[in-house]
Amino acid sequence: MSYEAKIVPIERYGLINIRADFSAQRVIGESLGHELPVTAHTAVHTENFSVLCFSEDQWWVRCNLEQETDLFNQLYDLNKHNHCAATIISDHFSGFSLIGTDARKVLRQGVSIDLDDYASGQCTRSGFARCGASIQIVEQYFHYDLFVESSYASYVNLWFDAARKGVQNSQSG
Amino acid sequence: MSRLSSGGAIDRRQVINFRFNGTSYTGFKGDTLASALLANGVRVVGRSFKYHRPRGVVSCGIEETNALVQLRSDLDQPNIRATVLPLVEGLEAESINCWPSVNFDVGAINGWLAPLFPAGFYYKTFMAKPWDFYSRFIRRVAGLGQVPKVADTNSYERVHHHVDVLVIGAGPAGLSTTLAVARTGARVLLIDDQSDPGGDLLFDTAIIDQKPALEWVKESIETLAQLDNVSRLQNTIATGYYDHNLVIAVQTSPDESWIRERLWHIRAKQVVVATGAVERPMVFANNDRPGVMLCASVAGYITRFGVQPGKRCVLFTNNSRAYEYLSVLQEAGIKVVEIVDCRESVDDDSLKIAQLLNIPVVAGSHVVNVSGKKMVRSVTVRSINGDANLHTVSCDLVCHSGGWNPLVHLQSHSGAKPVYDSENVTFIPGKPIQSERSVGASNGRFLLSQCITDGLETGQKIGVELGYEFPEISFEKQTNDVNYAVEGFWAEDDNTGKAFVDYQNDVTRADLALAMRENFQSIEHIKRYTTAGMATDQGKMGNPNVIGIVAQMSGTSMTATGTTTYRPPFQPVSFGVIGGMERGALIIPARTTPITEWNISHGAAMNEAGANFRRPFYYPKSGESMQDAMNREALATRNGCAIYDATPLGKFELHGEDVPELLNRVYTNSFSDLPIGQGRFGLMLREDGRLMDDGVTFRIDDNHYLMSCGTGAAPVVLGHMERLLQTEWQDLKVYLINVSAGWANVCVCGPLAREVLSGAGMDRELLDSMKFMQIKTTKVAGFDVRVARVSYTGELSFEINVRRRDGLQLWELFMQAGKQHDITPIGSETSGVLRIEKGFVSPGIEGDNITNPYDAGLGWVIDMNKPDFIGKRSLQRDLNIGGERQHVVGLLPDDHNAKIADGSALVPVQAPTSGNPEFQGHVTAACYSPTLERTIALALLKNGKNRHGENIRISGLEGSFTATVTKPVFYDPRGEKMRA
Repeated sequence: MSYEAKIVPIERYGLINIRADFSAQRVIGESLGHELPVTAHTAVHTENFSVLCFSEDQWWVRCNLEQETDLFNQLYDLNKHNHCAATIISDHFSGFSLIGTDARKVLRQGVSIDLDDYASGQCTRSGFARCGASIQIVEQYFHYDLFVESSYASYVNLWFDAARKGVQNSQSG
Repeated sequence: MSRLSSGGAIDRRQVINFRFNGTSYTGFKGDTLASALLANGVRVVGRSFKYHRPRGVVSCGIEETNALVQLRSDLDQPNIRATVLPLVEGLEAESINCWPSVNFDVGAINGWLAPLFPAGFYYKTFMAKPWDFYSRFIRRVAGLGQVPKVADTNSYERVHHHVDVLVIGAGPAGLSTTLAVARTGARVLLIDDQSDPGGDLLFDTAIIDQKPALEWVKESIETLAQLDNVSRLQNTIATGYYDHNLVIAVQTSPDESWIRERLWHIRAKQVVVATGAVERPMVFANNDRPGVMLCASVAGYITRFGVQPGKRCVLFTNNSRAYEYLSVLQEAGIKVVEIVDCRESVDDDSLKIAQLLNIPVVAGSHVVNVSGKKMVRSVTVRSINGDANLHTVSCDLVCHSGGWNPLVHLQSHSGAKPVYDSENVTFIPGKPIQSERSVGASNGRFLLSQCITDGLETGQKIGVELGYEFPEISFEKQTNDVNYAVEGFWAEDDNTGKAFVDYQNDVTRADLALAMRENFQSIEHIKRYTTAGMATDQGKMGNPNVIGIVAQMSGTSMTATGTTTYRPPFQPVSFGVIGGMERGALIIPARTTPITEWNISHGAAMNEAGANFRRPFYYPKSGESMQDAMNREALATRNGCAIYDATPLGKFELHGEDVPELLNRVYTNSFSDLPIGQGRFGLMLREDGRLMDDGVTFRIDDNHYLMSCGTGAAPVVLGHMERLLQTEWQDLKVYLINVSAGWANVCVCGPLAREVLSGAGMDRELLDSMKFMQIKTTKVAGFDVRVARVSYTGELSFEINVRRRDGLQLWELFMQAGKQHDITPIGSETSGVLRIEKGFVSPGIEGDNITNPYDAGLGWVIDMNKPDFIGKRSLQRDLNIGGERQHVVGLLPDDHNAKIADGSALVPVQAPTSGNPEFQGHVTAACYSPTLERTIALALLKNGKNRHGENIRISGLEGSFTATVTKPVFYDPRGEKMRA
């Protein structure tokens, strides 16, 4: 017996953290070939990458692993003349896709925010279980991508397993 | 058997077998354990808490104080209310507080010894010795139920939920509110503790619009079911109401069959408390005998369960609503032989009902005593103002009704104070503190028509306030209400027997009187002294009686007397559902590094390392003790080559032109002149000038720095700097990015470190050219790495940082390359030995919230010429005040093999071995140094800096040792090894 939801590790993704003040945003947008979204929790999706906006001065560029270095290199040097910072964070985070008709029922066990506030394509940060998570709502109620600090990945795997199926004392020791 | 031949909402086709106190019984689907026991003629269901008096079922709901049982079937759980426990096949339960059986309980001797156990007796006994002796006996008999003996193997779940409006209670008021709010389009969640909606209507024969009230309930539920914005949960009880409109609720038996209970964290913009009211007992001698039951509950057992709790009944009341139930009792074949009404004047409507049913009413009188022990035999009645009318009535059931108590508990949890309603002689919800409204009976609206109107009006207001459409609602409902007309009657002073005001805690009217004689005046103090209103029922039934009696005795008003504070949980909550799935490996998240599995598979003894990381403590070989392993690892580091996993250390990237300024402000030394490729040790202080953390910060590029800090301190340091940047120093152009988990950090150290690294493919020239505290970017076996020359061991040391995904491969590469040099993995306990040898101060160990950097011998890291840094003012103050401070020193015990416990006291050598010698400091860390072949220690000692060469005595758990005070550096004092 379990919820109808599966947990799939997200493999081989590129992730670049961008911090930038207002004036640097335009420069970064030009470098990426796409304007940065300016409202927190929104995202833009291009053919090659997505840009998730977490706050007025922080974004994630989510791309293929193969593109990561090139994108990073083109963004890194912008800090010479602008107040901005690009950092590769694909190793700092481990990604999980939570997919299924009961995905929301599983996720609401660990996330205290109102998931109904977020539509498909949006993103947010939240406390999650006993660690934090950045969440991309790929398809509302059905598909969520979660990113947790990599050092928590084993714990999160265990957590999802328990959240899907329940945990019994005899199993968990 | 007491089961009626017809009636009730039970399914008589589904027979359910159960056991109680070892005897087999049957009931029906829809029964509770209490209704099934009553139907089987079981009158004594438990024993009381203190006097072990036989107790029977008194109510039919959550307010029950007597029928508490211990579950013994699939789950061993104490203190379950039989009145709300659904009967299921195979259920097995036992009475609590009795031995050897509920019918013959040795503990009943307490009744005879009652004069020895007055209110507050344990407070008094605490004052007399030997407490240790008799505490054993008191502890054995105290408490409710037994701690489960077997582990709970059920699954539990915790969920978070958000709504516009949370309605608690699906009785007439809650349903009306929901109907009104739902039509506005607001998101509504309606929760209810029973298996079916309806609240008290389930136990009643009420009429709404000429139809049975339950038909109105059914129609309402059907209406709500069609609305997408409404959710409904049955078997869900709100147990606590906290700040920010957070309500905690427990759902039993949810749809998901693998979950026993679910804990809901519900955040609502508006909370509506519609939890109803419970009937209040009357206080009279022996009012706890089995067969003395609340009036509405008796009617409830008849209506809902088809159970006849007695055959010959006396009704004792102070209100007219109790008359409403008379026809139900009579129709169930219960002969009501007399109504004892303590009101001098009973209203005509009530008298008419009694007359119609041919029941005599004795007004202005009260029940003064009950005879019978395990069941009621008769009651003695007397006029309130004297002995007139004194008579005895034979009966086996006493229905009593002292009015109604709104369940103000949840509102009280939210921070509001109940207020006294003199018309209804009870406490009702006071001014809300949060976005909350109480409706219906819980708001002191006891008539059905009032409940419905209150709910509809409230629902409509809430909807409009939330900005939703104004709904069209009809407030006209025809009901068969009976006037309430209650008069306060608390208790008459009578010495004929124990008159209980709190059944659960065995508190009597005499206990309250004693407390007042002993000068307790505040109701909160009286509560604590007598325990009235404590424990699992939180005074649901008895508290207004306690307050009324105290007010009466003290000659003050109910308002002046006030209420006690009702606290969560509203109803007992299982530990299982509180813990949820956070058990076993999920209690604390164990953070890992890419090398964690390798370490475990290679036999490392793992230990907590801070910030939820577990790191190798040491790596014992077969047959090796901990000390042997540590000696081997330490010597390998000093003489050959060692490797350790430094991944858990905190790592933060700092970007921006103002990074040097930030570092100058958070560190005690200057970072203005740090060249690219160079690192510098920094000391971070708190505002009070005490050690927060230390670490090394490297300059990677013009505006790009990398800071490292201790594992356990990493979250604190990150939060500290983020707070400063976001709140205090918003003008600084600095971005801070946590990359701690993104980089694996493998440290290769020891005199042969270069050989190992070059053997693994690193550029030897680069290794030779790197100076202490430098950082370089290079490649090893195709991996991009950052190599830093820092040392925590005091030896030549390289920290190689690589992307996390490549960490294990790099580790294995170094292990392979180091084979010929006998490379040795070392654990954190060995690192501890190496740091003690080197005298490296640890902010988390020597920094004891008193020690400042000067005390720790770290004055060289402080630049008091800088304009400012965090902690500077406090350090200056320390310097100005002067005086004797404790300093970090080294200790060399005379006994080279002395085992010294951390924390051991330092006392003068001549101090007596017993008594209270002058405390001069304490050992912060001690170990056996295999390099020096002797025990060494670091310590904090008063004026220690100036006492090198003196003798001191170490006095601790492991014994008493004399030692010489030295400088705190035992190994390579000039630092030549680590700079090699």
